[in-house]
Order: sequence, then C-alpha cells, then structure tokens
Amino acid sequence: MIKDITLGQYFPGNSFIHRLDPRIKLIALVVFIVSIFFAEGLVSYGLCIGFTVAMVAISKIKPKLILRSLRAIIIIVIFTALLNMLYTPGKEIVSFWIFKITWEGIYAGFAMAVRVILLVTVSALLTYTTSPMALTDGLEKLLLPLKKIKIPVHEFAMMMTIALRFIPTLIEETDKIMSAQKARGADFESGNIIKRAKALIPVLVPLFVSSFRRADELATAMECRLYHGGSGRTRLKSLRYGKIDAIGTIILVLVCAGIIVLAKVFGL
Amino acid sequence: MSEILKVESLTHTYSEGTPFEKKAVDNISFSVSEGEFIGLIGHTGSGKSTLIQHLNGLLKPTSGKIFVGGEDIHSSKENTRAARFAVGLVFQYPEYQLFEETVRADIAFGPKNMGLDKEEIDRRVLEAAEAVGLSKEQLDKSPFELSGGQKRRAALAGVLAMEPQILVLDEPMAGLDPEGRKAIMGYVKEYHKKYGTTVIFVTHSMEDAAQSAQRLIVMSGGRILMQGSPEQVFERAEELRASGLDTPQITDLFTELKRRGLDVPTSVYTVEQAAEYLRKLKGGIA
Ligand SMILES: Nc1ncnc2c1ncn2[C@@H]1O[C@H](COP(=O)(O)OP(=O)(O)O)[C@@H](O)[C@H]1O
Ligand SMILES: [Mg+2]
Repeated sequence: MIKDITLGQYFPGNSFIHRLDPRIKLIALVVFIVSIFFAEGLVSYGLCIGFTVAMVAISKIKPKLILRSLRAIIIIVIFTALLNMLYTPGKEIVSFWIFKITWEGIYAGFAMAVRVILLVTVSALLTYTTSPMALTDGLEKLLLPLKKIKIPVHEFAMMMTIALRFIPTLIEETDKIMSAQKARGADFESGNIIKRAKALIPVLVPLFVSSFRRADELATAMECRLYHGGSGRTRLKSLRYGKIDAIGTIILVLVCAGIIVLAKVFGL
Repeated sequence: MSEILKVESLTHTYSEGTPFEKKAVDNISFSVSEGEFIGLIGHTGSGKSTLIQHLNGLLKPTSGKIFVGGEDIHSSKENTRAARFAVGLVFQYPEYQLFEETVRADIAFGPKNMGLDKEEIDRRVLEAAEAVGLSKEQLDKSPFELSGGQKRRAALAGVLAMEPQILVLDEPMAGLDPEGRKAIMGYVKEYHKKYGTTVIFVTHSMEDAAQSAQRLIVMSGGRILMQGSPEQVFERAEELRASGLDTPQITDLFTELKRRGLDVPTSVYTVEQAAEYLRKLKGGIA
C-alpha cells in the first residue's frame, strides 16, 4: 500500500536531541557538516565519527532506521569512493589499463565515503528527531532576516507547513479512491505505460476535486480565525533558547573547534 | 438456501512488523446465504470496513480464507478478479469517486471494466439509474452538478450497474440528511426485494440496521460480538451498550417499561412492533 511509505520521518521522543531548539539543530547541522569537510587525519575523522555515533545513541533512534536511510545512497557512496580511489595521484600500489590505485587514493576514497555517510546520518537524525512543524518553524525564524529583501518568508513557511500537514491526508485519500475504483473493476497494474497512465484518470480527477475543496475549506477556516499573514502573529509554542540549548551549543562549538584545530593546526 | 459467502478465521493486521502494527480484524468466521439481508454493526474502528474490503479481494487476509460461491477467492488470479465483480462494494462516501463527465458515463465505468458490450452497458446504466431514482435528464448532467444525496445515489448506481451477486454497502447513509437517509434505505430495500440480491449493510447505527436486516452481525474490537436475528441481538441490549453501540430508542423504552414492572418483551426494535405489543397488552387489560 502507498500508505507504507514514510514521508514525515519524525519519530517522537524525549531525548536531549529531541528537545533541542530546532533552530539550534539546523545551525548545528550546517556547522557540523562544514567541520566534517575540514577533517584530515585519522584523529579528526575519528572525532567526527565519534560525535555522530554519540548523537545517534543519545537520540535513542534505532540504528536500523539510520541504516535504512543510508541504503538509498549506497551506490553514490561507492561510486564517489571509487572515483577518488582511482584518480588520486601518489604512491602506486597496482595499475591496470588507464587506472592506478595509490595509497593516497584509497585513503581519499574512504575519507569521501565517511564524509557522505556522516552527512546523510546527521541529516537523517535531524528529520527523525524534529517534527516537520518544528522544522518549518525553526527555518522560518532563521530565514526571517530575508524579509528585509522582500522575500515572503512567513508565507513560504506557512505553505510548507500546510503541505506537510496534507501529505498524509492526500496519501490516505489516494489509497481510498484507488480502492473504490478497483472495486468497480479498474485495473492499475496491467497494460503498457499509456494504458496505465489512462487508468489513473479515475483517481486523479476525484483527487483534484477533493484537494480544491479542501483548500477552499481551509482558506475559509483560516479566514474565520482572522488569519492575515505573519505580521503580529504569536505562537502557541514559541521557540525559546533554554538551558539545554546552551549546553548543546557549547558541545557543538567544542567538537567543531576540536575537529578544525586537530585537522588544520596539528594535521591529525 | 445455498451459501454464497463464507469467511473462515479471517485475520487482518495493518502495517505488520512496524511500530504501527494494528490487528483490525481478529479471527472472524461467518457465512451468508443467498438472498439474505445482513446488517453488519459495530462502533467506529471495530474493523467493519477492513472486513468488507476482504470480501472482494481488495485486501489480502493476513490469515484465513474467503469463499464466494464456494471458490476460494485467492486460489487463483481469475478467482480474485471474479470476486471483484461478484461482490459489489460501495465504499463509505462513494460520491468522492465520481470522475466522469456525465453521470451516465460514470455509472458505465464498472460495466465497461467488465468488458460488456455497449447495448448491455446501456441497459444496465438505465436500470441502475432507475433503481436509485435518478432521472434521464440527470444522467446527462455532470456528476459535480448534483446535490449531495443525488451524488451518493449516482455512485451507488455505479456499483449496482455491475449487477453483483452480493451488494456490500459501507455506511451508505453517513453524512446525509434524514430525507437522504430514508431515500437510500428505501432504494436499497427495494433493490433487495426486486432482484433478490444478497445485501450486507454496514452501519454503526442500530436504528438503521433494525429497520431492514434479517440477520445482524455485531462486531467489536475486530471480533464478532454476537450474531442472530434482530430480536436475539436486541435482547442483549446491555452488552450492546457496553460495546459502545446505541440501541433503538424504542428498545430502550421497552427496557425501561419492563424495569418498571410492565410485562413487555425487551427485544422490540421497531415502532410498529411496539404498537402491536401495546395494543395486545391493552386488549388483555380491557
Ligand atoms: N489503512 C490502514 N492502515 C492502518 N490502520 C488502519 C487502516 N485502516 C483502518 N485501520 C485501523 O483499523 C481499525 C479498524 O478500522 P476500520 O476497519 O476502518 O473500522 P470501522 O470501519 O469499523 O470504523 C481502526 O483502529 C483503524 O484505525
Ligand atoms: Mg468504516
């Protein structure tokens, strides 16, 4: 069933990572990813890996879930690692045809693989531990300065919130309409591409109709509650920079500074 | 009468193996004879919709079997497809499945998928439209121009036109005004009488079920709580209420009368029956 696809990947919890302010998490994600690309020697890489593993452990997200999100990028990881391995000049081990495998190449390949894996892991961790609503909220707050250059930040955030809210509803509805048409003998599984595309009409038309109806209803409901855009609006759960956020920031700064200093100053 | 449908230890678990696992239907068995009018009752979430989506093979059982006309519907692809047409399933809020340009074309969608020829399709469309009280002019309108109740009836006609042996209706009166409810109930009853089609009528309202069904199957928490004639079921009004179902008001009244010492049966479920008993009682006194 279509419903089994997890879109909103949020897994509610109450860990330290879950409770961090989404703004901190978003900034931390960017800062940590940049730091990963500073890493050079085994020690600085070790610190990156250690920090990531620690975060996953603290968040209590099952490693199986992280592995699942890694499965999607395994081909890219192998491909970039191979490219790095084959095209890095240095001390040769073996060579065949136009390729040369070097010690430096192997190291660079592994390093690239580790970087990509860490990058995906921390990004996945963010979506696993932050509700989509909190994420858009955080994003809106962070991007607020862009309002100065006339970018409608609030409107974009509201659109994203509404979209996220309705994705599960739409999926459920698609499921229902498909079942209803199947009950009338519709066949979505056989035939060539054109036939299958045509078979979708009985699903898409009702889906569009109900989406417009929903949009209309939602607009009315929002208007009834005097929604008038972002200015002067307050929130039910306003984001507040608290003690755990301070702790989180300090840890992040220490780790990232550590990585950069180890790599750039000591070359470790 | 011959058995047309048999469900054998049917269990269905949604999202098995995930944290969202949910056993919606739990080891259910029952059978239905040809021409019966069955009321399938249960509170919201008791598994009614899940159960009936198995009858035409839309959902695959986690375990258990379904037989339509003696054939296991999952024993072969052909049997599954045959069950799709033998069991006509009208979903809850079926008006949301209308999509064609005209009501006529929409009603014809099912018969067309069955591969019937044009004449037969036309005949069935007209007959189905008549069975739900849609006029010829309404047939050439866009389904989106119809009123709520008319849309519902058009969608119902879309399934009737497939001339299923078993007609399954999932809460067909939900969200309609009293007039619309009465109309749908009337058309379904009439259709049953005229064509002798087996009907399974799903509802969470005892009042509705009591009006028409010859036999009631009561579900609770994915299991069958009780089944039998309306009298037998309403006899156990206490249990029904405990499982979150309402009993017909007239049954409640008679239960109260009995509690106050009047010699009346508590299995009464229609006003007509009630009037008759009271008349009898009055005659006895006079
Ligand atoms: N597609 C689905 N995925 C997961 N759970 C479902 C799905 N459909 C129904 N359920 C769950 O199964 C149970 C029975 O639902 P349903 O068969 O719709 O009951 P009813 O029709 O009696 O209201 C409910 O707890 C419901 O939440
Ligand atoms: Mg239901």
